[in-house]
This record gives sequence, C-alpha cells and structure tokens, in this order.
Amino acid sequence: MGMQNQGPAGRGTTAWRQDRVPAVRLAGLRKSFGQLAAVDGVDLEVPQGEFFTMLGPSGSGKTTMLRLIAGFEQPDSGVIELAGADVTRKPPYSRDVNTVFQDYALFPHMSVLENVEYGLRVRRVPRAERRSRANAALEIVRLPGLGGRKPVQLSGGQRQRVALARAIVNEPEVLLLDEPLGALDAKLRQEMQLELKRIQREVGITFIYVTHDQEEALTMSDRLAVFDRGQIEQLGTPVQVYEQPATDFVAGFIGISNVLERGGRRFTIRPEKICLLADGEQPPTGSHIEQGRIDDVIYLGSATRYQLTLSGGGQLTAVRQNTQDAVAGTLGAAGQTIGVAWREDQAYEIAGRRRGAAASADDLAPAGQRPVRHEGRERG
Amino acid sequence: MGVRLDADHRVKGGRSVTSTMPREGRPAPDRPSPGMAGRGSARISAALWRRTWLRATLTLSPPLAWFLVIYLASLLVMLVTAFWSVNPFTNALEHTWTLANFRELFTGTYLSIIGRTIAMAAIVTVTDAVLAFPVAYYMARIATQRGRQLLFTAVLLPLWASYIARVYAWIVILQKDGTLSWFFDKIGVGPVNIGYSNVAMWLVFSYIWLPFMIAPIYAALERIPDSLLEASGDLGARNWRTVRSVLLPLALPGFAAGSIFTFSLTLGDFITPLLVGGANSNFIGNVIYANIGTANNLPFAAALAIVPIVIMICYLLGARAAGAFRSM
Repeated sequence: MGMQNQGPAGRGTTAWRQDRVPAVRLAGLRKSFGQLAAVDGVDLEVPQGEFFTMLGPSGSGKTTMLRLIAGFEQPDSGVIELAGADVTRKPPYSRDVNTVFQDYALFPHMSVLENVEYGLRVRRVPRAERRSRANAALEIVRLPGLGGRKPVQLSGGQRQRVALARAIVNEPEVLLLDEPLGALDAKLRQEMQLELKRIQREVGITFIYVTHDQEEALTMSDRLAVFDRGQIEQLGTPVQVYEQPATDFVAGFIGISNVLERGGRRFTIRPEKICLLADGEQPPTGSHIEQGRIDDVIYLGSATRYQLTLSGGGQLTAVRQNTQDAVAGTLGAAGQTIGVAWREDQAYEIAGRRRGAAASADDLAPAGQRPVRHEGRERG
Repeated sequence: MGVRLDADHRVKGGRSVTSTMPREGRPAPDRPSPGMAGRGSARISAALWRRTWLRATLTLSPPLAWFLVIYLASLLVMLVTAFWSVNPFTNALEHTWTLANFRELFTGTYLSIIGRTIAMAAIVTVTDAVLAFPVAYYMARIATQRGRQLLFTAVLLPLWASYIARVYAWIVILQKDGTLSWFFDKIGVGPVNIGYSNVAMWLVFSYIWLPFMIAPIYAALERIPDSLLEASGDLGARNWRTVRSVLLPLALPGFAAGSIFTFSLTLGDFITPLLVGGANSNFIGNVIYANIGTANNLPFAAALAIVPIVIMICYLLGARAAGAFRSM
C-alpha cells in the first residue's frame, strides 16, 4: 500500500516524481451554493500518475470538488490547473479530463461500442483507429465482445466497466471517478476496487476518486484527502491518515476512534492496538495499563469487539482477533473488569477539538461493517 | 379449501397474508373472531389478492365492453358501409358489395384533396416540432420550478378556450383589413392579405395543435438525466453536438408522440378549413361532411373516412420502424 512503485506503466508511473508538473493543482478554491460553502478554500496538488482519493461524508464538498475540476461547476474564486495550464474558466469539453459518473451516465440509445467511441468520434478520430482503441479499452476493463449490446442489457458491474472504458479510451490527463462503486453490492465492490487499481496501474492515468467509504479509500489510494465542510482535514497516505489521524474528525471518520484524555493530553488509539489482558496475562513491556469494565461484547466473526468503560475515565472500543487461542467469550462477559493495556507510542496526540460535526453511528462502525449508503448527488 | 389456498401462497413467493387477514378454513385461536361482514369482505379481498387475472378482468371489463360496443362496433359498421352504394335515382342505400366508392377515391379531385390534407398535416407537424422544441427545452432544463409552472399553464391555457373562438380570433388577425395587415401597413411593408388561404390554415393549425407537441417533448426532455448531458460535454462534445447526438435522439419518443397528435388532429379536421380556408382548401373531413349531409352518400363518406385511418396506421408503423417507441 502507499508509495510503492508497482510495475510498468504507460505514460505515467505510480511512483510519481515531484519535479514534474502536477496533473492537478488547485489554489484557494471556493464554491458556495447560496449560503452554503460547499468548497471552502482548498489548496491541493496531485502529481501525475497518482491514485488520489477525496474521502468525506455526504455534504463535505468532495463531489463539488470533482465537478469543479471537470468543469460542470464554476468556482467563486481560486485557480484550477491541469498539467500546468489554467483551465479555471474553460468549459468541460476543452478540459483534458474525463469523468466516471456515479450513475454511469451511459447513453442508452447507443451500443456499448458507440458509447466507448463517443469521445473519439467527437474529436474526429478516424474510424479504424477509433474501433481499435475502443476495443482495446473494452479489453482493459475485461469486457471484450460486448460492444454490440445496449447498456440496458448489461449488469451493474458491466455498466461500471463500460463507463470506465468510455473514459480511459480518451487517455485524459486526469480521470475523475464519482463514487463509481456506490451502486454495486459489497462483493462486487471489493472485486472492482482491485480492478480499478489494476487498470490505473496499466493505463498510468492520474485517478481522482471520490468516495464516502473509508475502506475503499484505504484500499486503493496512493494518497487521500479527508474532507469535512468543504475543507481538507488531513492529507496523506492511507497509513498516515489511519495510524495518525490529525483531528478528531479524521479519527472518527476513518475506522473507530478512541479519543481519550489523560493528564490534559488528548490522544487517539486504534481499537486493534489495545491489548486486553486475560487473568494473569502480562502486558507487553512499556505499556500503559488500566482497568476496564466490559459493557458489551460483540462477536464479528473474525474478531470480537469489546466496549469498555475505563477506570481512568472515558469509553474505549477494543477489537481482538479471534485466533485459535482467543475465541469470543474467553475474556469475560459484560459486567466483568479486565486489564487494558496499550503502548504509549500507539497513542497519537490530536491537535484541536473537533470542528463540530458529530460522527454518526455508522461513521463509527469498523471497516467492512458499515451499512452501504447510497448517497445521492451532493451539492456541497 | 384452506390447504389448497395455502399451497397457493407458497407458489407466490411464500409470502403470508395472516398478518392482515384471517386465513380461511382454519381457526385462529390467538385472534378474536371477526364479525361476519368483516370476514366476508376480507375473504373477497383475499381472493382478489391471490388472483391477479381476476383483478385485471374485473377492472378492465367495463371500459373494454364500452370500447367494443361503442368504438369498434361503429368502426366496423363504417367499414361495411364503405362497400355499399346509394341508388342515384331513389337515394336509397343499396346493400350490395361494390368497390365503386374506393375507385372514385382515386380520381383527380379526391386525390388532390387527400394530398392536400396529408401535406398540410405534415407541414403543420414539422412546424410544431420546430416551434415546440426550444419551448420544451427551456421548460424542462433551464426554467426554475416557478417559471416552469407558469410556462406550462401558459401552454395549456388556450385549450380551456373554445376551438371556434380561437379560430375566429385568428380570422380577426388574418383577414383583409385585419390586425396583421394593419401592422404590416404601419411598418411600411404594405397591406398583406393571407386570410382565407392555405397559409392561413397552416398558421391556425400550427397554433391550435402546438400544446399537443410541447407537452410530450417536455416530458421526454425532462426524463433525460443531467449526467448524460454532462457526460457528453465531458467527452469533448460542444453544446450543439450534445443536442444532436444525445438530446434529440433521447427526445425522439416525445417528438413521435407529439407528431401523432398534430398529424392525426390535422388530418381529421374540417372546421379550420371551413372557417379560414380559401376556395381550394377542402380537406378529407369537409368532403366527408358534405357527403353525409347535402350529398347524402353515406357509403362514399365511409370510404373516404377510411383513408385517414389507413394513413395513420402507415404513420404509426413508420414511426415504430424508426424506433420512436423503443424507449417509450
């Protein structure tokens, strides 16, 4: 995960070079809808060839960001640059970006091949070249031989792939993806996550991916930005953002946050980093140890989740893998008191108080356990 | 019976109705027994709920009966009448089969009347399509909610006024010394006289049937998701290209529906030709009307009346072949 160089690529490589002109540069971007500031001062640079994710709850401004880059919305102020060229005032058809829409937006009156060829036909690419490039794109998304079908004859996952082929066939500078997996079922979504990553590696195009699903963001991204209320809360690699959340909001939105206060110091600690001590068990050296009363034990299959109230104050969620030695229930039931330990270097101090926006119940659910939310197109 | 019905349930997806109605033939000890009347109506609705075909039959029988007796029967009588004739001396109907009426249709006078009617219907349809598209586009995709309501009312408002009154309003505009002539005279073009002509008919027809074109095109345009138009722009298409390659093809069913209205309504009209038409403005409808009334030749009128029906059948088949109904 993260910044590894992953194999050969077309015109870009996954291991971007900072000395090159960034694929996308945004400076002081603002956009309001009436009173609501959907995008509230965003500065961002996305290097070429990166898989970049904008993650945030609905209404955080991430889709508006995407629409600003695509040119569907005009910013109130700020600059949008694509590969060094200012495109802030240019219409969508003059921008070297393509979008994969949340609802796929396939033209229902055209066949799959006509859909994929559309961008090339508009740009007057000769027929033979058009055909071969469209077929190559369909092969990349693993849909060869379906060119003659109409979009209604395809499954959701296939439509998704056609939408992707229709975009990458134009070889844009940047590919924008607006929650493209939102309408697929969980299993297909996981499959497509890997597919998208593979395709991005193969074509080497910069991907800017919008999602509210933290698992998707962590799985696929080279880097990600966590959005809240039109601003970037944290920018970093998945490892950085998950392990060292900068704010309460990030900690709460990605994974389960345990925010504790000890001696005037506020810090977060991830549930899986907490060691629950069975009777007589010794904590790892250098651990901070407290007593905790078990409030609830939730069996999750591969792991068991414990809700605890600490003797030092505060609530804590701990997750313990159900290994061969530690099956659910072996630690004790609700009401019992057990030892709780964590290493000091796993507790990350967080900056300010959260900027409002209480995390909702499903924001706090662990990765893979969240109910699928089909959020509509957000305007801010 | 209870057992059989239970099996029925399972066939239809295993859903149970016990939560809303008592199951027949089996005591429900945990529930107070409903009164006789309640039980009867529940039984009827349960029986209907299980038999989709019965529901459909009961709902559709009255209109279907009406349709068969009133509509198809009269059409059939007309079709039969067209093969009869009238005795030229006694003016009595002769119930002998003949093709004479149809042969007469293909003589010069009637052919030109049929031709004029079809041509006018086609020109009016094209005119209305051209006029309706920008209006419908504005209503469906640009106007605010309020503007859309206002425009829709404005488009439909003329339909509340009498057809005759609206045609007479046009006579006031178009006649010699009318509003139009006065206006052109004032701006120095000189008086124009297009009242009582085919041009007048074209204007009046286009005006009268315009709402019937705007409404279906509006409905078709409104159904097109924004994202399709954005996708087209995103893929490099300028506005006109998007209109041509995405908007118009997807609005085609609306055009087809609207054109069926404007074409068939013009084809069957005989009042506008009568009121604003000139010396050579007879429509199929006018000849039918004359043959029912003054000429008293019902068989020939019937034969002539079949012509628009045949034309419309051809029109609908053509529209279907062009794919107009594919996304309806």
